[in-house]
Amino acid sequence: MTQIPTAITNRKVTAEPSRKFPHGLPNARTLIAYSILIIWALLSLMPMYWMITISFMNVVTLLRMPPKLFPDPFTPINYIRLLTNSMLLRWELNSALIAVTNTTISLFVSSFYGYIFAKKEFPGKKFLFWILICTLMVPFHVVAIPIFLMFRDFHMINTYWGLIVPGLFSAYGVFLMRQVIKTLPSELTDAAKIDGCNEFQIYSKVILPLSKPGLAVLGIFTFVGNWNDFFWPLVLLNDSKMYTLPVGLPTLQGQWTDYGLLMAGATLAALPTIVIFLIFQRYFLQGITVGAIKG
Amino acid sequence: MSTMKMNRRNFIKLAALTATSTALASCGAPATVSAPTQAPAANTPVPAATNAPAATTAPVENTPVPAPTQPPAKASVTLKWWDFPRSWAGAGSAEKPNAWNEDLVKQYTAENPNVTIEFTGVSWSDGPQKLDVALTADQGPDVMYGYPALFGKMLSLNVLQDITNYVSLMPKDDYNDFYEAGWKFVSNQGKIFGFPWYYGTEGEWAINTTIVKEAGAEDLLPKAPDFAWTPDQMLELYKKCTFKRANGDQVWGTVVYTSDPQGINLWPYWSFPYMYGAILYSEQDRKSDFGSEAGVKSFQLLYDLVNKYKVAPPGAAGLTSDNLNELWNRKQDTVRVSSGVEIMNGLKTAIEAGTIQAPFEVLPVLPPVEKGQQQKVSGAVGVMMVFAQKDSSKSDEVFKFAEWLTNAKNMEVFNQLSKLCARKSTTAKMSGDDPLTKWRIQYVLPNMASYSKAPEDIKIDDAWMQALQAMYDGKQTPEAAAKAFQDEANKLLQGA
Amino acid sequence: MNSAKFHMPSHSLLREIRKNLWIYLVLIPPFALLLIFTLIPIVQSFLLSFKEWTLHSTRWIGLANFTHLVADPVFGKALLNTAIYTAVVVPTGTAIALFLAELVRPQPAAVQTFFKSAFYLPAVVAAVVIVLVWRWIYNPANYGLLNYLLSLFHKDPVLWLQDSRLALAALTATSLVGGQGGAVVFILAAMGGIPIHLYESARLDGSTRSKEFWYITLPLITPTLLYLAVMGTIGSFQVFTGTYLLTNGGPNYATTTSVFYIYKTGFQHFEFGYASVQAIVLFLIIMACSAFLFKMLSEEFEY
Repeated sequence: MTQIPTAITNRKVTAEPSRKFPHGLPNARTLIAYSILIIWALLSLMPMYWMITISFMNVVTLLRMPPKLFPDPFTPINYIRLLTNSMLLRWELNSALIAVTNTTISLFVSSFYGYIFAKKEFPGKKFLFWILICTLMVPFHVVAIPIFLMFRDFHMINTYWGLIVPGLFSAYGVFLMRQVIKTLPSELTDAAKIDGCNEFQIYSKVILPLSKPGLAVLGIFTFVGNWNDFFWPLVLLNDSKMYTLPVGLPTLQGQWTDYGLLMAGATLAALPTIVIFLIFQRYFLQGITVGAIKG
Repeated sequence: MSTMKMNRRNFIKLAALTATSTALASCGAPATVSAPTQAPAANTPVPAATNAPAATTAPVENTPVPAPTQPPAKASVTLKWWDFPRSWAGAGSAEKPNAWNEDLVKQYTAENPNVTIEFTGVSWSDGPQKLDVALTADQGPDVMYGYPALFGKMLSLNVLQDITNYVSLMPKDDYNDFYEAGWKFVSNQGKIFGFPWYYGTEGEWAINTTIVKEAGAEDLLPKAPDFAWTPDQMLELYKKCTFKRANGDQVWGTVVYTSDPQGINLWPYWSFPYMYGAILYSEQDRKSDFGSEAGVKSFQLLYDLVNKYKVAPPGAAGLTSDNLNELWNRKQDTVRVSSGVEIMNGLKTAIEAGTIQAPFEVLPVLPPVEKGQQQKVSGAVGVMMVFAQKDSSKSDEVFKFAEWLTNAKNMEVFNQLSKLCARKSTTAKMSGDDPLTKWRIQYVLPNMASYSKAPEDIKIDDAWMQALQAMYDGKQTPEAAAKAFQDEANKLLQGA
Repeated sequence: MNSAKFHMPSHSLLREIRKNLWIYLVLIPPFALLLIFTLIPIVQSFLLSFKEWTLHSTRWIGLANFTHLVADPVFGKALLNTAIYTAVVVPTGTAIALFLAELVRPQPAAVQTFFKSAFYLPAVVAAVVIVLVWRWIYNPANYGLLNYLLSLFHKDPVLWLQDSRLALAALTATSLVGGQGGAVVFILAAMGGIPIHLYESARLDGSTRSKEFWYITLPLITPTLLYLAVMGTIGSFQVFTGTYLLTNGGPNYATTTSVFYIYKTGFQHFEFGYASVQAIVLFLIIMACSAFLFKMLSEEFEY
C-alpha cells in the first residue's frame, strides 16, 4: 500500500454504493481507451509477430519481395535446418543448464537468508542489510572487468562455473524473500521452536512451504533473467560450443544474414520464456511489485 | 616396425635438435623454441643442417627412454586446433561452418590413434580477441589459421613455434612444392613459423554482367585478356549501370559500406588508394603518408561515388556488408570490389540454394588502376600457424599435424574455393585448363599486394574505417579525413 | 536504527552475539561472495584506472588515463549519447506507462489482466531477440518493414540506422515501443492500492475523470513513479545490446553509448586500464543520479 496523506483519510465519507463501473457505462471515452490500448498492445507485440512470421519463410520468398503479413509459402525449413545442422540445440542446452542451476541455487539461498533477515534479530543486522541493499545499486559494468580478469587468472574463462559463480548470491533475491517472509506470522516459527525444531528445520519445514508464492516469483524472475542475460556471457564465452542463446543467436549467419534462419533461431530462443510466462502469468504480474512497494 | 628404428634414430636427432635449439635459444630467439623429442613423420635419416656442438650431452639419458621427455612408444597427446568458419570447405555450410574441420579431425585421429584433437571454431570478428584471452590463460591453440595481420601479431607476441628445423627435414620435392612466396611470407628473420596454406588473391572485382547487359553497357566492360581498366572507365560503367527498374527497384553501379565491427574487414576498399598509387601505410618504413595527394584523391573518389555521381547508395557511413549482400543478391549492385573469383565459383551453389536467382552472371576483373600506377590486387598468404609448446613432447605431433593439414591431398579442399593454394602441384591439378586460373596466374598473382603483418594493423584499419565514416557523415572533408587518418596511423606506428 | 548505541556495558551485547553466533557464521559465505564479486572489484576497477593494462603487462601510469579520458572526444560523445537516450527514454517511457495504466485502471479485472499480459510479454523475451527483429524492421532498402510501408506511400526509403542524425532516435524508439510492460504493471499495482472511497467521495464532490487523475491518483503514486524513474535511469545509462547488434556504435559514433565504449575499449582493444577509468566515471555519474533520486524516496523505504 502506498502511504496516503492523512489529509485525505480524515475526510468524511458519505456512503454510496460502489458500482462496477464507477465512471458510468461504456461510452465513447471507453471506446477510445480500448482503441489506444489495443493499438499499443499490437505495437508491443509486433516485433514478435514478425519474428514468427519471417521464421516460416524460405530464402527465396525473402529474396523476392518485401514481407507480406502472412508467409506464403509457409515453410518450416528454417527450423529443420536449425535443428539438424546448427549449434542451436547446444546453445539451448547451455542456456537451460545455467538458468536451472542458478535458479535452484538462488531459491534456496535467497529464501534462507531472507528468513534470517526477516525473522531473526541480532546486533548489526540493520548494518549488514544496508550493505546488501547498497550492492543492488552497483551497475554490472563496473565490476565486469575485474571479475573477468580474476576469472582469467583462475582459468574460469569460457566455463559453466564462470557463469554460475557470480550469481550464487543474489542480493535482490534475499531482499524479495525477506519481504515475503516478513508477512508470515511469527507464531508459526515460535510454535515450531517450542516443538523442538532447530533453525534449519524451521526453515525447511515451516518457512519454505509457506513462502511458495514468493519462491515462485523469485524462481521465475531468476530463470528469465538468466536465460536472457547477454553482457556477461558475451564477455566470458569464446567457444561457440559454450554459447548461451543470446550470445549465439547473432552469430547464426553465414556470409550474410539469412533472416528466415535468424528469426527461426530467435523464436526458438524466446519460446521457453514465453511459455513460462503464459503458464505463470499470475506470478509474473504479482511479482514485479513485491518488495518495491512498501508492504 | 619402423617405431624401433625411429627410436634409435631419434636419439641422434634428439641430440642434434636439442643442441641446436639450445644454441638458438641462447641467441635470444623467442622462448618459443623447445626441444622436440620425436622426429617429424617425414622420416629422413640423420639430420644434416645442424651444427651441434655438444652432441654428447643428449644421449646421457641412456635408458630405454632416450630422453626425459620422450614418452614410451606413442603416448597419447591432445592437440588443440582452432579455425575460422569454412562454410565453403568440404561438407561445410552456413549452419555448420566447420564440418570440414571436423571431418579432418576424424580422419587424422583415425590414422593417428594416439592423438586427440580438440577442435574449436571461432568467428572472424571475435576469434582474434578470444585468441588473446586464451593465450594469456595458457589455453591457446596448438595449430590455428592466421591471416596476415593475425600472423604478424602472433609473431610479435612470440607465441609461435620456430619450425625451421622440422621444415628442413622435409623431402626436397615436398618443400619445393610450396610457392616460394609462401615460404617467404611465413618466415620472420630467417625462421619459419607456420605452413603456407591459403594462397590467393581476393581483390579481384566482380561485375554482374547480367545487369550490364540489362543496361546495354557491355562495351564499357574491361576486356580480355587482362580485364584491366582505369578509374575513369570504372566511373563510366557505374554511371550507365545506375538506373531504376520498372518495378521500382533501384540499381546501383556499386555499393560502399563502412560499418563493421572491425576495420580490417574493409580491406576491399583499399583498392581505391591502390588506384592512385597510395597505400594506407608502409610496413617497412613504419609510417603513413596517406594524407598526400594520392590518398586524398582516393577518399575524394569514394566520397563522390555516393554524393556527387550518386552511383552508390546513400548512407555509406552506416551500411554494413549485410546490406551489400542484400543488394548484390537482388541484382541491385553491379560491381563488387572483392572476391570476384570466389563469387563466380559459388554462383551455382547459390542459385541452387535460392539465395540468388538466375540469370546471374559474374565476370571477375582486375581492380581499376590509373595509368602509370602499379596494379595491386589484395591477396594473402594465409598461414597454418604452429604455436609454441610448453611441453616439448608435443611439438613433434603438432608439427606433424600442421604438415598433414597442408599436404597435397588436403590442399585440394581449395577446389571448392578458388582453385589456388600454396602448393604448386595441387593448384595445377585443380585448375587444369581452367582459363580463369590461367588468367589469375598470369595477370593477378604477380600483382599480389599482401596484407600487412604489422601488429598495429588492426588498430590502423579501425582508424581508416572511422575516417571514412566521419567523411561520409559530412563531419570531415575527404582531405581532412585522409590527413586525420595519416596522423592517427603515425601515432599508432611510432607512438607505441 | 538503534543498534549503534553502545553506552551500556556490552554484556548483554556480547550475549546477544554469542547467542546468534551461528547466524554470523552462516552469513560469512554470502558476504564473502559479495566481497569478492562486488566490493573488491569496485576497488580493483578504481586501481586499474591508474594503470596501463594489456594482456601481457601492467604498468602504473598515474593519471594518464584520466587525461586521456578528458581529451577523448569519443568518450564525451558516448556520454552525450547516453544522456540523451536516458533523458528521452525515462520520462517518456514513464509517461507512456502512466497513461496506459490510467486507461487500463477502470476496466474490469479480466480486461486488465489481458492488457497487462500483452504489455509485459516483450519483457520476458531476451533483448537480443527483439533487437534482431528491429534490425530487419529498420533495413535501409525496401525490404525492411518500415521502408516498405513508406514505399507504399511512395516515399523514399529512410536510412534509419545509417544516418547519423537518425540512428540514435531509431535506437531510442526500439526501447520505447513495447518497453513499458513492467512499468505499466507496476503502476497499476500502485493504483490498486488507492482506496476506492477516495474516488467516490470525489465523485460526490463533482470532480471529473481528469481531475481525479491529477489530484488523487497522481499524488498517491508519485513515490512509485520516482522509484521507476530511479531504476529506469540506472538501467538506461547501461544501454548496450541495441548498439552492439544494430549499429556497432556508428555511424561515426552516433550511437556509441558509454557501456558500449567501455566494452569496445576493454574487450575488443583490450585496454583494460582505460576501460576501467571509463567504468568508474560512469559509475560515479550513476551513483550521483541515484543518490539524488534515492534521497527523495528514502522515507518510503524501511529496513
